[in-house]
This record gives sequence, structure tokens and C-alpha cells, in this order.
Amino acid sequence: MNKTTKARKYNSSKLQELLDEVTPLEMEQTKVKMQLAARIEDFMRAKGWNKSQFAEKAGKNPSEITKWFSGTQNFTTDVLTEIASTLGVELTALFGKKQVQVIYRNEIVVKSVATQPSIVMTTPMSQGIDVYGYCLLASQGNKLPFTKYYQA
Amino acid sequence: MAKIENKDFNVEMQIRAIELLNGSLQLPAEPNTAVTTFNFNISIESKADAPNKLIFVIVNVEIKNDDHSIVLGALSVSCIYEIVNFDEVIKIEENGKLDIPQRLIETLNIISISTTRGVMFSTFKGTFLHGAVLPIIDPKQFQVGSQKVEK
Repeated sequence: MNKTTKARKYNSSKLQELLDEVTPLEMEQTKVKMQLAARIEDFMRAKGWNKSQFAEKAGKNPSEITKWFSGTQNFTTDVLTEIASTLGVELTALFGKKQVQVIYRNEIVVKSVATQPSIVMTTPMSQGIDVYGYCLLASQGNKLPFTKYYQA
Repeated sequence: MAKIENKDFNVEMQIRAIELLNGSLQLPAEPNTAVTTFNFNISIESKADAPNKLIFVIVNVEIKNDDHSIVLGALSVSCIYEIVNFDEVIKIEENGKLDIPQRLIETLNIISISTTRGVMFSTFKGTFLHGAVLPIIDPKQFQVGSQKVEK
């Protein structure tokens, strides 16, 4: 007969007291450290490396890598930059996937001479009112130099 | 919804929104002297939002006088496209970077520039920038290899 093991919910007043002592900020700091460690490990696995190979590439001792992955390491910017460089990713990638990425950027300078513009629309247009009281836009035929080409 | 199909490039997309981000006019010192020559400084920036299958193309146009000494006006337009088959067309690399086909970027840039031309005409009609129609731009200038700004 198979025996199934279920997670046991443990309630303890002592444990609750200890948890109550942890401030929300400390909780967040721990969470960030754990997430950072998990992300580094994900990138390492995506490269197909194990801890020893990663340690070798980073020039570190395997025990140090284990410490990094424990989620308790308070990384310095220098160490994170070193890790990102070893993994071939941007430093920001370690903190999560960017929602919006810049994919293209370019600047162009063009010049135009408006002596003979292709589109001419003189404003304000002269207006009139028909017998029903609706507004009519008067014809600008005499002001539109290209009208004769497309009107029958 | 538009479909662009050929041997190696099939994309299904639609315009989700066109937003006028900014539009401004600056009257020259001598308003009675017509400005007939305009210089357009165009900057294009494209951004992709993979989870939402969106691509944003932001076109900023700065209109200057003949010798680039006076800024006569400025306009920014954001064109938002939904790429329906985003996952098929755009590959996400190991490091999270998006690999977008060059032709798609060029196509979106051309559409966005044309849209900006229309928005610009509509915004500036009847003003002293009435004749500042954005000229037709060679699509080669939008090729990914021709990028001048890389930040």
C-alpha cells in the first residue's frame, strides 16, 4: 500500500512571534535576494552549465557559487556585473525580464521646399448656408492648382 | 487586420492606436515673411512589449528653418501595432532579447512615418507650417544597418 506524504501545516506561537519581528522591508530584501539567486541559476542552466562549470567560467570557487544560490548572499554591484558578464546577459536582465524593450532607434534629417507644395488646402474655407440651414463649404476650385487633373 | 505574406515573412498585424503625444508651434520673429524651406529632424524609436504582443513606434519630428537656427514646430506621434502572430514572427533569445525581422521594423517605420505625415498636416493646417509637408523618405534610410544612434 502506497503511503502518501502531505505537507504538514505547523502552527506555533513562537514561530509567529519570530515572523512578527521581521519587518516588511526585511521580507522584501529576502525575497529580492532569493529571486536574484533563482534568476542567476536559470541563466546558468540555460547555458547548459552546472555549478562547477559556472564556477570555472567565473573564476570562482564552487563553494562560492553554492553560497550565491542559497539566496542569502548580499551581492555587490561589482559581483553582479561579473556574473552578468560571465552569463553574457545585461545586468538588468538579472533583475527580471524587461516588459518593454527598445528594438530600433534612428535619426534622419530631411529637407523640403514649400514653394510648390503638393497638397494645398486654404483655410479658413468660405462657408455658406443652404435653404435647409445646413452649412456648406464653398468650392475652392480656383485655389487648388491640381483640381483640374482629377475632376472631370 | 493586415496580412503580409511571402515565402519567408508572414505577419498578421493591426493598428491598435495612434496617439498624438506632442504638438507645438513657435511663431518666427517675422511672421509676415513666409518660411518656404523646412528641415525636418526625425527621430524614430521602436519598442516591443512581448507579453502583450505590441510594438510601439514613436516618431518625433522637429521642424526647423533653412539654416537649422530656429525650431518652428515639433510633433510626436506614437503608433501602436498589435502583432497577432507575435510568437511566430519574433523570436526571444536566451538572454531575453527580441529578435525581430528587419523587414517588419522597416515596414512599421514606413507606416508610422506616413501616419505622422498625415497627423502633422492635420495639426498644422492653416498655420504658418501649412506647407511643411513631410517629404517622402527613402525606405533604405530605415534599414537596421543604417542606424546612426545607438544608445
